[in-house]
Amino acid sequence: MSGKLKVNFKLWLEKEGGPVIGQGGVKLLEEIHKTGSLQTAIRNLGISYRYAWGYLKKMERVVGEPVIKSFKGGFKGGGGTEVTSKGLEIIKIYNRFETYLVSALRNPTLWEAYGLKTDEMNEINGVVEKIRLGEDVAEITVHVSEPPEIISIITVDSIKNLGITDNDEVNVVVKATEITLDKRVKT
Amino acid sequence: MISARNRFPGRVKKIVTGELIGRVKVQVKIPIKITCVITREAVDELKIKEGDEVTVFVKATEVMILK
Repeated sequence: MSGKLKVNFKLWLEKEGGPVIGQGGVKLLEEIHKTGSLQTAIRNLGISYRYAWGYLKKMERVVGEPVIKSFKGGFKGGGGTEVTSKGLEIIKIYNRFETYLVSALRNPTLWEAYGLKTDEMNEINGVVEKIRLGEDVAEITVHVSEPPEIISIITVDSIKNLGITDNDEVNVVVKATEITLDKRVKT
Repeated sequence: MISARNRFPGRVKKIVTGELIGRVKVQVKIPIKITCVITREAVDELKIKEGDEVTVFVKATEVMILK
């Protein structure tokens, strides 16, 4: 296999486990809403009437109410189809989540964070020196005698602002409440 | 001033930077005393007592650097 891997996704809405709508269905509803006609919509999208009708009726069964409303031409002619408020709500929900997912995929910080393993844990071995028991919380002091290496993941801006480079003397700071501990398993 | 009690001097060993996030590895000098505040429940559950050998865990994103 050659070429760079690309991340993609398919989004659909469900109700009680039944599929409601996917990208194609949203396009169909949007086209109906835009043109005011099912016939025009399917022509513009190049899909069959049979397929579109089946898709919409199945969606209405799962949702439990109509997503489109057709009306016959009156005295002045011009019948058509409109999207119901439920249909519009479905379009809105789908698009909101699609926007959210697309922006997540395009977010360089997020992907960089995954690359740099933001779930990285520092593990430091020590011996419990003192325990002070409170009513709800306890304060534990751990004595560390082996020099630990501590990893800090911060923004590049912070690194620049601090002006730190290799071999610089720094202080590592951790809030006591951000630390958790476990008994060491003897190997 | 910083209220955190856990402030350990050390030396920067390696900095790796990306576009927005960087990873700083610090060699911390000993001896140090790490203070952690955990729930009373956790202490009872773990049956921790003085003199026990323990491992302390800190997420790398929770570690700050001061110069």
